[in-house]
Amino acid sequence: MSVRDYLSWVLVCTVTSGLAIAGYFSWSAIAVERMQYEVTDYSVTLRELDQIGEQLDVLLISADLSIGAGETYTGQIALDLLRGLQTRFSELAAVAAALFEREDVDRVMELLVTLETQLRVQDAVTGGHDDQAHPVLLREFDATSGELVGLYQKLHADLHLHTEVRKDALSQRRENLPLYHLLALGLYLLVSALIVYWCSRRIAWPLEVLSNSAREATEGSTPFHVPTTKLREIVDLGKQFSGLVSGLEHMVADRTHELQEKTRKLEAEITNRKAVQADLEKARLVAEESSRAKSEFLSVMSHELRTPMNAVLGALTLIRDSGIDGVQASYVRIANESGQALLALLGDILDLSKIESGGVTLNEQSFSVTDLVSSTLDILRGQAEQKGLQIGCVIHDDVPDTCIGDFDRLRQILLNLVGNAIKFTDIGSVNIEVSLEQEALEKNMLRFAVVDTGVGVPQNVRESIFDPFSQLDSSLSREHSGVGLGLSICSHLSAAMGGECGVDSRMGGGSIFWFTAALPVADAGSVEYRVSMRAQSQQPLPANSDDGQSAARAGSGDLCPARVLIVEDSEVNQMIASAIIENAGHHVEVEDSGEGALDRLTREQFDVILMDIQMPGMDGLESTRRIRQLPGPVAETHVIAFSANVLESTVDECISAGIDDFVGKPIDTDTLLSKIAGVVSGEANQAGDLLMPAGWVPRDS
Amino acid sequence: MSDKPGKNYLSVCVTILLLIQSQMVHAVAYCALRDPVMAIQAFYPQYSSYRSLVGEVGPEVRSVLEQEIPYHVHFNEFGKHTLYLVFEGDIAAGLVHARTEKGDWGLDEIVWSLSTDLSVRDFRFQRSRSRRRQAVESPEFRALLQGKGFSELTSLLSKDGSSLSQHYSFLPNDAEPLAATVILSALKTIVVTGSTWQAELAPYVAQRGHGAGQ
Repeated sequence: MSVRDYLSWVLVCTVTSGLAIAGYFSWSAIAVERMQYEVTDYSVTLRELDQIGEQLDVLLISADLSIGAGETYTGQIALDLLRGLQTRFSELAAVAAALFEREDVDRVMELLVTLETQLRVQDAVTGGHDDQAHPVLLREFDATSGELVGLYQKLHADLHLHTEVRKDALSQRRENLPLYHLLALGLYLLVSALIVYWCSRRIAWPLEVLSNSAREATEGSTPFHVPTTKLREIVDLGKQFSGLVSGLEHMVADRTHELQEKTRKLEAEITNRKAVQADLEKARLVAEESSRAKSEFLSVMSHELRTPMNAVLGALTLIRDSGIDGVQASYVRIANESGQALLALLGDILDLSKIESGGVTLNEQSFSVTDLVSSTLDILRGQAEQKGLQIGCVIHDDVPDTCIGDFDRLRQILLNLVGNAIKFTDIGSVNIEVSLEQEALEKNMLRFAVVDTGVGVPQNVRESIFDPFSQLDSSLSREHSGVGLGLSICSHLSAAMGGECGVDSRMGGGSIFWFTAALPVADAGSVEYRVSMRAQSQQPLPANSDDGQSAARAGSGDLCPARVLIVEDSEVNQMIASAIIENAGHHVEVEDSGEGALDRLTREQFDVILMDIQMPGMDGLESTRRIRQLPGPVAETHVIAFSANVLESTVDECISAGIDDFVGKPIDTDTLLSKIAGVVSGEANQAGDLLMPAGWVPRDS
Repeated sequence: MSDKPGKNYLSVCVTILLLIQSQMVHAVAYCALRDPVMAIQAFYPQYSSYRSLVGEVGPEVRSVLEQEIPYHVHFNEFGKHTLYLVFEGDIAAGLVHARTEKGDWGLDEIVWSLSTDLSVRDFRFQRSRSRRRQAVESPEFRALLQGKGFSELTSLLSKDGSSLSQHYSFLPNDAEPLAATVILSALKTIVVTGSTWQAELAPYVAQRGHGAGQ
């Protein structure tokens, strides 16, 4: 049997019961109507019988008068009434035969005939003139009329009773009809509910069993089984489910096997990765250790190389200022230039090392592009003019004047490129051209190009010219000096700024060295970096020592000689610094340690303390902190740090320790004397407004 | 006509018409005993003789009735009527008279036995087709009327005379109209007898509370 068969049965049962209830309602309505008709028939018949009774009453009065009192005239009336009564009663009996007993009707008709006979006999006997009725006839008349009345009363009573019974039944039926209808409706609903329940048991139960079995099979608790039912569709569905579950089980088993296999491989892979990661971690630790050792090495090298260079250059300065003649002076100048070149080379090597080790940190401050270019040109204008070159710049109109970036590093690149251009150009000009290569919402890509009219760069070296230690001319007979680090540094710095570095050149037709940098645009009024603050300190060391003789001399001007305390552990540096400062007319005292300086400061007061940073025992930083804690005005003594270690971290430490100023080693005589003169004249920079050493470019920024 | 549902004025009118017509044409004594001897024997088993007193009932009697009886009565039985004076030896034992009343079915004929003082001794239906005849003819109801004179009988009726003044347990409810008709018939009999045969009965009438001539 199928679900469709069940549903067909349900439909048939429902329709049948619905038709049954509708039939019942119709039948009950018809029955009530029929009862109403019946009651109406009985009532009409009863009214007719009442009228017959009234007619009988009049008839009997007439008969009584006729037979009892011998009234002939009333006898005729009685006969007329009797005939009418016979007709009326016979018609009623014919119409309502079902309502009366046939025997009663016949008897009534017999009695009416007898009564007629008696009336005719009375009329015949008396002739209308005998005032005495026949006694026998009178008795018979009484008997006849009495029976007639009794029979009439019986018929009337029966009909009345039947009428009332039917009226009561009709009334009862009408009263009970809503109840019967309600009961029938309830029965219909009950039957319908039973049908639905039966159907649901027959159809829903197997489906529920099927669903539960499928769920349990899905959960894996029990195997799937087909429910026992006669419903063909559910059996088919169960079989299909069973097949599906079986297929799924096989698929799951296969997938599980594959998954296990892959898990095993992954575990092996993870093990390998972990081993590699461990190796990498070891390598990283080694690299970090190497980097740290390299940094330390660089720091030490920076100090250890600059310290003797300080002595060399200082001694050369002292020799230069000692009044030597022209030949000796030229030797000293050569030695000084060589020392400066060696110092520049040392700075480049340190720079490249920092860049390659990833230690470059770019400052983000707003600056003026015009200032950047003009300050570069100002620095190198002297060199260009010495070679008879024209030097200038072009800044395109679409270039925003105010940008955010590392001013010093940008100028370092420009100085390198322009310096190279001047170096390799004998005739013509060197120009800086700044243009907007790409405009973007957040950062603009600026292009800085240095155009020269030099010899040009051969095609074969254009690719490698930015590599470290790459030389345009590496032959033994090359005209220009240099180790080939400048362009490499430029390339690295421009890459760090989101740009690149390149060259366009034609042999004999000049070159264009360019670099790009992605620089955010800043508000025009928000320039933070002012080149004017640093212009003085950025002047290159004069190549001719004669320029140094123009430095401030305490005794040659209006300035008073200052009392300077030099705190330095190196005797060579003590001697050099003392000689430079004393030659300027100042009074110098020397202490070789921080402890000694503190002791002396408790007894003497100085205008300036020249404090070496790196010293055995109490270093310069700690000594300065102690000085700042001394009582009295000695704590306010102007402290100028001087050190061969020019790393930016060292500068920061100096500021935090309370040092007022800084000069690097080797000592630039003019700078140092200018700072001392500034202290004496009261124009020294305030605390926290630390000036960087001459020629100093923050190597680690 | 309490046995039939509903009244039909037609029957009443026809009856009145017939009665009027009958008395005008014949004026016969239809209020008559069918068998006087048997009736007297029934009421007076010890009777020795009786006298028939024929009286002429005229319209004046109706006037008397209307004056004496406090109810609206129909009386059209004008003409000669017979009153029977019953003797037991030389003593007048009582009177026997028949009266006709409109009944449920036709005319009811009632035979009255009166004492010489015109109080009710007894009564019988000479004809009645009512099914309550037996109840009214029962000993209890007859005992209720026996010995009662005009005023006592009047007290038994309601104000309009159509029903009894009180209910009696021995009488079914539907028998009360017939009982009231019987009592009204008794009142008319007393009044008609006293009025019509006053002279003939004078020597025999005992001095009692109420008589026709009083």
